[in-house]
Parts: sequence; structure tokens; C-alpha cells
Amino acid sequence: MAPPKKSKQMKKDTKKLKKIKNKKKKKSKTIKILRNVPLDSGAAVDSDWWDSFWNKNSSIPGSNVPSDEEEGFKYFFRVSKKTFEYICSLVREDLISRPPSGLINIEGRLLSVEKQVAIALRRLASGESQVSVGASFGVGQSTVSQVTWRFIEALEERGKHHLNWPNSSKIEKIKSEFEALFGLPNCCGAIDATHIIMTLPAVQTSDDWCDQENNFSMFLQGIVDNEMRFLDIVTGWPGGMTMSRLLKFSGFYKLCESGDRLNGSLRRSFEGGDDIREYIVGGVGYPLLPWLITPYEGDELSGSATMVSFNKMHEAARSMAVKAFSRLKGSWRILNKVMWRPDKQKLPSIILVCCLLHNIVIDCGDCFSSDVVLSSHHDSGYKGQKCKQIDPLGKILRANLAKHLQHKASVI
Amino acid sequence: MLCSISATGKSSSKWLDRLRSSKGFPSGADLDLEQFLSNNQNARSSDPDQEQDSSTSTSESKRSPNDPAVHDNQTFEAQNPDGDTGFFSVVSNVLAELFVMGSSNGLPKVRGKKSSRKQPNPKFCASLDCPESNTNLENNSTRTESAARKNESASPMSDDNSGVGMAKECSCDKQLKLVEYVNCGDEEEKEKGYMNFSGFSRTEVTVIDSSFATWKFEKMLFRKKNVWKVRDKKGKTLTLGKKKRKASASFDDQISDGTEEKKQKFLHGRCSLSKKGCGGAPHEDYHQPGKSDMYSNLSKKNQETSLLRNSEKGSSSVVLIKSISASKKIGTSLPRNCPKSTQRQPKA
Repeated sequence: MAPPKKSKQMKKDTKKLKKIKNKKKKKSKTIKILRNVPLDSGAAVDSDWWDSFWNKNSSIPGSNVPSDEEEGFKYFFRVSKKTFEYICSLVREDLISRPPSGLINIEGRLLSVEKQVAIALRRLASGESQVSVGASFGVGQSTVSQVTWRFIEALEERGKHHLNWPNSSKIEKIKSEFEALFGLPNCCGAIDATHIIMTLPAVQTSDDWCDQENNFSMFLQGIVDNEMRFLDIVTGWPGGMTMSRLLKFSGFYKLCESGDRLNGSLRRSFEGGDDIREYIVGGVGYPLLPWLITPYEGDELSGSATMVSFNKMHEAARSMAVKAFSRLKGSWRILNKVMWRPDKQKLPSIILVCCLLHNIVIDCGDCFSSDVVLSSHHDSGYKGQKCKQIDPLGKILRANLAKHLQHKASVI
Repeated sequence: MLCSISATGKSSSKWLDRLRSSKGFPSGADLDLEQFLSNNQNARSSDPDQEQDSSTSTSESKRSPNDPAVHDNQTFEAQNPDGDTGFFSVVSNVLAELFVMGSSNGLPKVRGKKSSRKQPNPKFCASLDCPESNTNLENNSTRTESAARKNESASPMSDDNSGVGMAKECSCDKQLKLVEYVNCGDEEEKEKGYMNFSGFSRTEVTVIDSSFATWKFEKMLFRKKNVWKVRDKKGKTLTLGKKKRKASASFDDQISDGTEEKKQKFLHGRCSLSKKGCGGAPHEDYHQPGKSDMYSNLSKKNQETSLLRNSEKGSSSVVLIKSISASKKIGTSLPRNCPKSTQRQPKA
């Protein structure tokens, strides 16, 4: 009796095995098919990931997710679908999943470039933890970490052309815009700096990153144009140094001091007036230099209407930089949140990529939603610094600019 | 007694004989316990001065007076003047060495060997070394490294063999401390290179500055309250050479649409820039006249290596430059860029 039973069981087992084998074959076939498909086929967005993401995250109670899908896309990723496609095209070469090294999701499918970019953008935009970002996409924390870093490395290399000092024709345009908006002739940009706050382990080596507000922080200095586009950035230096010191460590300072930057054509302020060279505007935390104009301060002001009106226009021009930082930190909230023990070698890259994305959004002409901007100052909690260094040439240029504004006002 | 010991080899119950001999009892078939006991008693009743004279017995007797093994020891020591007993001790030594007998208290040499045999773990030695090395570190900086290396070499062994949690923790702690000291030693060495920054704390910083040709670079930052100094990171000579080369390449790019005159002006400005450099400016060291030869050599070497790589991979020089920059970056970026270059190869 026993042997026939066994044989039946055996048959059943073999059937099961065959079924499993068939299933496996089918699976392997699908994988093969996937692999045979040209991986970089076209620029069409893989809509699968977006549909599932939208269904999962659009109806979260208590969230302000716009009901419109296009707006919703922008809410989550800070970029329009068109700009998103452009970003994907930039990094496609580096992120494209090539078996066997390609990233695979839970279902065993390779992560599309679009989904990888979406994960990275969501991580940078929200500043949420890797776990929660992963949950919203149905991937694990490690995938978020890996994908985000790969994206940062890729864009850091391939998006550089979105952040550079403008050529002569572009700089002329910027200067004319600044003059039109704020009445300041030959102004090439505005400079400001912000702290990127982080937590660090309580070891002695962390002390150098402790700033005046007892936070561990890293500096980001940026020069922006009239459209709040970053033209020059410096990051990586500890937040504990003064803004003046930060400037002096920067390459921009050296280039300006050596006459290799802001060395464009002079501008006659008005008939009979003095020549005005190219310069940028900065706050009181910066020194007054021949190419960096700060506002009148304290005793210098002496109640003169010329100086007060100059300060007003100067502040308006400088506010472009303040707004740019507010927008940067508002859009890419990872910079506005306290980072948990980041790798200090990697953090500058994260900051740079956020600046690149900020510029890409501007360059692609995306409409900017005002909801994203920070409600408070970009460097809230930090007392303003004052630098007393005054260069005589800078003083003369500032006086000439004040005269220019006065003359312009009198003509009008 | 001599006969009894020699007889042990022939006896049927060898283990018993071994046990007896290890305990100092006569063994073998022809046991004469009475004689043995009488000998023992004689020894105990012998002159106490003689006992005190024996240099080895004193410490042992003080340590554990009730230990029978110690008493045995005393008896053997007391019998030293007698030639037979001397021979006996020698033979029992040999036996103990051969068979690793349990109670070898009376045989200091054998005990030492036994312990090392049973537990070759140098944990005990390491723990002894630590304070010594610490004092070394405090007293003499030159001896620091050697002591630290000694400990470094010792510590992994202690980790391997320590089965007890506490002991493991201790060894770990010591290891950590040692690593710190090693680092201190390294930094002290660096300090010599970085002129004299006594009292300055130092931090390695990775800076991204879009004004430079190479956006990303590493610097050594020295801080003393509000005084900040920047120096190039040591051991990056290849990096410097490469930076200079790449910088010049990028200048060409910038000037490509300009005139030759402009180029010269630019380069001149660059040189003056280096001369002006504000207190430890990131680029001031690149153009030091004394170093120029070294940099040119390095750049030549770089070119050579790049040529070699070029011939090996058969890829364009642009890719090669990129691969060099990748290796120069931070360590993490190296593995990323390597496959990238290979990925791009088929396309190119």
C-alpha cells in the first residue's frame, strides 16, 4: 500500500516542480525581455512610478497637496514635468540601470531613471527621512540613500554649466537689469551667505564646526543675479568663521583682487561725474571693498538724505541674494533642516546640487510657487555680523554711487 | 626515589604514576611511602634559616601558606643540598614538560610554559603594555609611534582570543585609546610640516568653490579661536600637480575666444594673485617659486601615467583626465567613476 501512495505523491511533487520551473522560466523570460529592451529608449517618462506615487501620496489627510496633478508634481518635486524630463536627460547616462549593477526594486524590476530622479528630488525637496521618502515610493531606506547619492554625484558633474560666472554679454544684461530695478549702475550681483546646520558627534574634532550660535554648521556663500540665479558659490567652510573671512577664503575674492573678475567696462555715472567700475552689493557683514559695496553704517550715515536713499536702493538690490537663499532653502528643505551627522565631505556636494537645481528651475523658466519660500529669514537664529573694514577706494565708489542716485532723483 | 621514577615507564598504570610523580610522591610498584613521609618530615623539621635562604620559596610561601603544592615546593627547595633530590627535581621538570602535568607549582619554568601553551593569548601581555606605552606617549613623542605600533600589533591578537566579554571590552577600549594616540603621533608629524601651528585645532575640509577651475578640493584648516589658517592637505602632491595642470587647461577654455594678449594678462594676474594671497589662501602654495620644478615634474609624471593609461584603455585623453580627477577626489567617488569610464567607452 505504501509504495503506490509514494508514487502518487511523487507525481504530485514532480507536477509542482514543473509548475515552479515553468513559472521561473516565465519570470526569466520577462527579465530577459526587460533586458533586451533598450534601456535608454527615448525621453518618455515612465508614468508607472508617478501614477502609483500620486495615488499613494495625493490623498494624505492633513497635507496641502494640490488636487491638480501638474501642480501636485511640482509640489512634491519642486520642478515641472518638463524640467523633470530635462534633469533626467542630464543624468540618464550615469543613473541608467545596467544589469547586473542596476538597482532593483522589490518586484525585481530595474529602477527607471525617472523613478531614481524622483526619489532623489523628493529627498532633497522634502528633507524627510530616507525611510519616509522610501515608504512613499515603495522602496527601502538604503535604496533612497544610494539613489540620492548617485543622483548628486551625477548632477554635480553634468549640471555644472548651470552655475557659472556669466560671459560679457550676459553680464551686460544683468547690469542693465540691476540698474533698471534698483538704479545702481554697473552692479553685477548681490552676495550673501547662510548656515547649513547639522548635528555632529560630541568629539573634539567637531568643535571647529561650532559657530557663534553654538550650532554645528557649514557655510554657503552665493552671488546671485537679478533673477536670483546663483552665479558663484562657495561651500564647505565651517560656519564658525566670519563672513569676511569666508569671503577672503573664496576664489571669487582672489579673482577680484587680482583684477580677473569684475574687470569689465567702466561706466560714467552722469555727465561730469566719476567713472563707476563693476561691483557687487553685500550686507554689513562684508568689508567695504573697491568691488564690494556695503551700506552706510552708524556714524557714516550722519542723517544725510543721499546716504539714506542709497541705503534703501542698496538694500533692495541686496535683497535679491536674501530672497535667493530663502527660496533655495524653502525649495530644497534638506538644507533648512538640521542634518543628522552628515558626511562633511559629502555635504558640500549636496549643497551644490541644491544650488544647481535652483538654477535649473530658473533656466528652464518654471513658474515659482510662492508657498515654497521660507516664512522667516534664511539664516534665522543668527545675529547679523558687522565688518568694520573699509577700503578707501570702496568708500569713493560708494560715494559716487550715492551721488549718482541723487543726480538721477534730481533729474526725474 | 630515583628507581621509583625510572620505574614509571614500565608500570601498567602510567597515569597514576604520572599523578604521583607530579605531586612529588614516589610512584611505581615498589612504593615505600613510609620512607617518603619520613623524608618529608625531616625536610619540614630542617633549619628554618635554610628555608629562608632559598630565594624562590619566600615569595611563594607568603602568597599561600596553606596550599599543599607550596609546601611541596618548599620541600623540594629544602632538599636542594642533597644531590639526589636535585636530580629528582630535574627529572620531574622534564616529566612535567613532557606530559604537562596538572600541578607544576613547584616548577616555575614549567608553569610559565604551560600557561603559554594553554592560552597563547597575549591579552595579559597587552594589558601590561598599555600603561607602558601610555607613559611613553606622554614622555617621549619619538617613542610614541613605536609603542603604538607595538600595541597595534598586539591588540588584534587579544581581540581574536579573548572569549570573556569583559576582557574583550577592555581590549577594545585600549585599542580605541591607542588609535587616538597613533593619530596624535601622526598629527604631530604633520605639524612639523605645517610650520608651527601650536595651539591650533585642525580640520580637514572639503570645499566646493565655483570660482576655481577645479571646483572641489580638500584643505587643512587650522583654527585658534578667531584665527583661521588654511593650508593644502599634506600627502597630496600628486593632486596639486594635477590641479595646476587642469587649471591651466581650463584657462585655455576660458580664453579660447579671446586674444593671446588677454591670455598673458590672465596668467599674469594668476601669478600676482598667488603673490598677494591672503593668509593661507587656498592657491598660494601652488605657485611658490621653490616648488615650481617639483610641480612640473609631477605634471610630467601625470602626463606619463595618463599616457600609459591611455594606451592601456585605448580611450580618449578627456576620459583619462576625468579618471585622474576621480581618484583625486574623495575616496568614495573612486569606485563610482571607474565604472562610469568603462560605461562610456562603448559609446565613444
